[in-house]
This record gives sequence, C-alpha cells and structure tokens, in this order.
Amino acid sequence: MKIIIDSTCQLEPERIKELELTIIDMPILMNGEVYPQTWDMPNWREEKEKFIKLMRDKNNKITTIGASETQFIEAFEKHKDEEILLITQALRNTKATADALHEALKNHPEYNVKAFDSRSLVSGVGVQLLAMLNETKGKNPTRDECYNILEKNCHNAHVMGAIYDLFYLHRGGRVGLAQAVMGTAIGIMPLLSAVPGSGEIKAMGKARNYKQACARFLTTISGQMEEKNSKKLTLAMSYVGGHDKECLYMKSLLEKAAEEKEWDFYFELNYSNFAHMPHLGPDYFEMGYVIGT
Amino acid sequence: MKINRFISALEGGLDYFKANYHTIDNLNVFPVPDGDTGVNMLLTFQPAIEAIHENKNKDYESILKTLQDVCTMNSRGNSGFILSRFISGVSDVILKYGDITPEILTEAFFHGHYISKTSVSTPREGTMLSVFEAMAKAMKDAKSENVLEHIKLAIKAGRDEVFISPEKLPVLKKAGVVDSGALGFVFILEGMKRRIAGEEIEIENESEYRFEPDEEANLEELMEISHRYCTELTIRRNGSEVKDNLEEYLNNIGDSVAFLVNDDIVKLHVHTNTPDEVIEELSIYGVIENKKIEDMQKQIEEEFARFRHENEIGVLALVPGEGFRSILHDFEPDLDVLVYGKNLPRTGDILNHINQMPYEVIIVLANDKNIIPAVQLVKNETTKHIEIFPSKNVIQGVAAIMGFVKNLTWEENLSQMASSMDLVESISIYKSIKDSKFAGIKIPVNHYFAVMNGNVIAVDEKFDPVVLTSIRGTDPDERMTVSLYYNDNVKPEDLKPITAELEEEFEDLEFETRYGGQHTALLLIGLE
Repeated sequence: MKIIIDSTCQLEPERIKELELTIIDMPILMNGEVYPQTWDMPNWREEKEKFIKLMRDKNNKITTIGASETQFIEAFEKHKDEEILLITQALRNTKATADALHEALKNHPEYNVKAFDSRSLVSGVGVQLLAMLNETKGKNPTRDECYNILEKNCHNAHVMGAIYDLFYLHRGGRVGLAQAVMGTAIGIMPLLSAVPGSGEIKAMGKARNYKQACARFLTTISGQMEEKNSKKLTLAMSYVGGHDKECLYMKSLLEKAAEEKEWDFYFELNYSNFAHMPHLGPDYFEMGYVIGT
Repeated sequence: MKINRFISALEGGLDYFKANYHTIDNLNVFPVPDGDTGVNMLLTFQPAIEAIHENKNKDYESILKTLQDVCTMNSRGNSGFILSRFISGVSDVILKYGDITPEILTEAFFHGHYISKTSVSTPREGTMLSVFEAMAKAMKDAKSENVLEHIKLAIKAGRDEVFISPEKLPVLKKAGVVDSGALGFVFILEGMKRRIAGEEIEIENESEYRFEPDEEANLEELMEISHRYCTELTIRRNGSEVKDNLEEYLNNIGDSVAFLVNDDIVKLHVHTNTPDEVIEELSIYGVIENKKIEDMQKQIEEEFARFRHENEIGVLALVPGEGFRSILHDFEPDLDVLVYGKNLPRTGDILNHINQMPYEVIIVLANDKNIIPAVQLVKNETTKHIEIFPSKNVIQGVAAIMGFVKNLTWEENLSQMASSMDLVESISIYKSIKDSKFAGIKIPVNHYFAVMNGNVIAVDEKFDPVVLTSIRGTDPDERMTVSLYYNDNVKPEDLKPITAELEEEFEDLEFETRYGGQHTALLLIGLE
C-alpha cells in the first residue's frame, strides 16, 4: 500500500522520506506568478525563511491555488500497480482541489485509489496519519484497516493555534473570523481552533503572550481528555520562523501534564509547510492532536 | 347576535388558531424573530375562552368581562399584548350595547383599534394594528345584512392588509414573510366566521404567506420616520363643539392618528413633529388631564440596535476607574463598561445600563465580590438573560475578557473566560492611613503594603520595595507579562525604576504601565 498525502500535512522532508510518503505539492502564487517551491527542495529551511521575509512585505500578494487534476494523476501513475491510500484535506477545505481530485478519480478508475477526507487542516491532517501509523506499528494492516482507523480517529482530531498577525487571515477571506478575535492592543495573540469532523475554524479568544496561549491550549486539551475519559494523546505541532520556542514550551507543559495524569503521549514537531503560510502569515504556531484510539 | 352563537364563534376562533398557530410562529420575524408570536397569541386567547366555557352566566356582560380580564391577565409578548388590548376595546363597545350587530361591530373594531394602537409606545404600520384598522374601515363603508357578512368583509380587508405588510415593514420584505401577528388575528376571525357559517377548520398553507426575500430591503428605512414624537392627550371637555375638520388637521400635522370623542372627553393619539402645536390646538376643547410625548426616533434606534445584536452576546464590565475603560476596549472593542469611583455602583445604575444595552444575553463581570449581590438583584429585575461572571477584581476581569468571543454561545464564553481568568495573578498595593492589622500582619500608618489572594505579602515604608518584593514573590520566571495599573496618586515615571530593575532581573518579562484610575489601590498588578 502506498500513502499519498498533500503538502498541507505539516511534516518535514526528512519525516516524509522516513515514512515513504508521496506528496502532492499545493501550489502558491506570489503577485500572480507561481512561486517556486516543492516539499523536497534543497535547503528547505533557508527557502522557507526567505519566503517568510517576502510575506512580511504586505505589498506582496501571496495566495494558494488548488492542486490540479494532472498532479493527482501523476501521483497515481507513480504507484499504478499498488493500492493507494490518499489522505487529503481537499475534499472539504479547498473547492478547486476537491474538484480536481473528483475529476481524477472519476476519469481514471484504472488507479486503485481509496481517498480519505481528513475533515481537518494544518497539523490536524498530518496527526491523523501519525496516529494511524502508531496504531498499526508492527502490524501489517490492509488498506481498508488503515482507512477505518483514519475514519475512527477523524472525529477526535482537533486543531488549535495562535496567529500573531490577523492580516493574512483577513486577506484570505476569513474576515468574520478575524473580526471575532480582533483587538487593538499591541501584542495581542488571537487563538483559533478547528471543530473535529468538519474543520470549521472557530475563535477561542486571545492571549497576552505565548505562555498564556499555551496554558489555554493545555486547559482545553486536558478538558477534552477528561471528557473522553482517555489517556492517549497523539499531538503534532508546527511553527514558522523562530516560533519553535512556543512549541517547545507547549511540549514541556504537555509532558508535565502527561506525567501527572499518566497519559500515553506522543509528540512531534515540524516546521510548517509552504502551503499554509499564505493564510496564516509569517508568525504562528499550531497543533493537531488525536485523543484516544 | 345571540350570546350562545357569539360564544360558539369565539370557540371557533380558538380552534382555528390552534390548528394553525405553528404557521404564525414560523413566520415571526418582527419585532424579534423568536418564533413565538403564535404561542403568545394562543396563550393570551385560549385561557379566556376556557374561562368563558366554565362561566355559568352566559350573558354578554359576564362573558365579555371574562374575555377582557382573562386576556389582559394572560397576555404574553407584543402580539399577545396588542391582541388583549384590541379585545378589551371591542368588548367595551359590545358591553355598552349588550348586543352585536354590523353597526356595533364596526364601532367596536374602531374602538379596539384605538385602544390597541394607543397602548403601544411605537405603533407600527404593517402589523396587527394595520389589520384592525383596515377591517374597521372596510366595515364602516359596508351595508351588510348580518354579522356574518360583516365579518367576511373584515376578513377580506384583513387578508389584503396582511399581504401588503412587507411593503410597510422592510424587515418582513427582507425575510420574505408577511407579518405573523397580523395574520394571526385574521386566523382568529376566520375561525369565528367558519363556526358561524358552519364551515370546517382548514390547515392554512404556510407557503402562501412566504415570498422571495428581498435582500436589498433597507432595514434603515424604519429608522427614517417622518413624524418623531408620539403624542397622546386626554382632554376633559368644556362644552366646546369639536370641529368637523379635526381629523383633517391632525392628518396634516402628523400620522398614525387615532382619536375618540364622547360627551366627556377627547382622547387623542398622533405622531407629529410639533407636539406643542397639537396641545395648543386641542386645549380649546377643555382641560388637558393627561399628556404623553415620546421620542420615537430614539425608541426605534434602540429597538433596531437590539434587533441587530439579537444573536450576539453583550458583556458589561464594572470597573473601579476610568482608565480601565480604554484598557478593556483595547482587548474587546464592543464591550460595555460601567465605571464607578469611590462608591460601588448602585443596583439602579447597573439595571439602567443593562436595559440600554442592545443585547438580550449579557455577561456581567462584577470584578468585585461586593458588587455581585447588586448584580444578582439586577438579574431578578430585568427580563434579559444575565450571566454573572465571578471575577473578584478588575485584573481578573481584564484577563477574563481575553477569552470572550462575541459569536460564541454564553456557555462557551463563560468556560473560555474562566480559563483565561485562571491564568492571571493579581496584586494590589495600598498605603495605610492608620496603624492597622491586616490578615494578622501589622501595618503601621503611612506604610505601603501589598495584598495578594487576601494575604499581605509585603509591607514597607517605601513604595518601591513593596512592589518589587511582591512581584518577585510570584514566580516571575513563569510569567511573561506584568501589567501595572496606577491611580491618581502614582506618577507613571515613579514606576520606571521598578520595571527597569525587574526587566534586568527577569529577561523574559515584559512590562505594561497604564493608568487605571481606581480609587483605593495605588497600584494594581496583573501577572500573566
């Protein structure tokens, strides 16, 4: 079985190679031109830092476009003799990509593809894959078994994050959401979450600083763990620029809580992929997590 | 009309309405789209009919008085109130004659219209009131042979009026519905007619009262009223003859005219921009016993503000100093703030503020445990849904507001605000005005002291050491932001050496110094 996933999965190149995933790169436009980026480009860290600098110039109009039908077909073609499990956020979150995928699946029944709609976004996509891989580690699951695990976990897959600048969210069309967490105080940090099973983004309020944000996130996770009566937490974080310190602080809080509450806790930290930056901006950190299984 | 037939007609009206009141609920968008117009009208009308049924005296006087009293006692919501006032007015006239004929019914409908219209502070065209008027006018010009024919005319005029209600009320046009209350009354009369005529009840087709919503309909139109002041006068007549052209005069200087003239009084209702002129003109007929002039523009603005914010949640923060107004607005621009000074706010002040807020659900941040009882009283006094957030001081209030998101439910907000509040520690710095003992610690006169969680954590004759010691004692390495809110007795420059020293000591700590204006504490410190 081959797993194909798109580049919204928030996994770093080394991790992608380790997991032997095939990636569909989500294209980015800068000022109307396709911006040159791929998940496996050499010196990806420097390239991302360069991209972040370009984003900080708000005159640069940066946005995403959907993946094309051709991209999907090319990926399927690579594994034409294998069973393919396609994991995507495309079926819900980006209409253009969803349309392209539907066309590819409809027009090319010769490929043996089973598509899983993660109904999530950012690290919420990747963490579902990680939770599934953890659960099947050492086993030899069939594609259907993997798919069923993904379906089961999907409704317990949460996303939370802090965005330092609402400009990008606003420009990306999420005006209502941006307004909901708008404040005029300097240094205010809007907190967002996504509803499991739908990927709908909701405001969680604001924080004065990242420690406060992380404490809010921890309170939320602890509450959800308690509500689900679960001791198992699989969590993946991603960040841009120098915001790994926020993730490491969050990790320390989680580890402390895991020890106190005897959670079976899995953590992974990755640099954000290009695909999310146009919407979230050059300053954010976020996490996807699956409770239970 | 014989009394038994009248009672049977009333029962028919109720049965028809009961069969169709869900349609009325579904169409309800004005004045508040809460889907309860049908229920409100039913609960207003039904108990009266049940009481009549149980009443052993089956004469007009007894039946109509029961009808009036029970409807008034049970009236619910705007629609129920208007219906009860109309029924009361109609009953007055029928009681006067002790019978129902086409002529009496016409007079009764005019009187019912007047009573209901003058009972509401802002009568609106396109509502039940317009249907009463249209029915009365249709009956006035008719030469009906019997009451049934007369009612049929009224129903036709009422239905016609219902269908033009969206033209008069843009909010209906925008929602693509007719006015629910107006249709509700037509249903009652339809049921009465059918019972008299021996016809069956029919389930009305809701889709007939819906049409394509007009997205362009301008809600602001209602705010642009041509006659601003609702003017009501009751004049005890002095014998002067009432001029024939009085109605014409009133219609020239205003609209929504309703007046009643009998041997003793002239009672007037008019919307006009020149209430003084009206009073002068009417005073020739006698002594003005009662007058009421209300600014409808203000009322409409308030009502529409409420309409706009219907699905949002308001927050009122009670704060001990003017500075906290802007501090809180920096975090939540739409927040309502009530500032108090030396004395805690009065229940009346809080109640007035809450009643003026354009929200039906309001979270109140008391920010002082001594204010919570007053807010509790307010909660019992207002019809709004009040949730008291138990912030014990304004520092907790500022932290809690970080968790507020206006388009979430109040339950979600209370939960998020509580987790935000849990992330702050607060310290208050005071100066002792006499030798005292606080929580077992001696505090000499003119000494500064710091209080945290009800404990004195630092005492010194100088201000700076108290602030420094108290902050150092709160595990600053775990904090990132220290907010210093000073009052009129502290200069912001006095705080600079303190923050400079702490910044050097704790690299990750950021300081924010702002004017709070609180009366008692020299300095309030929030550690987050």
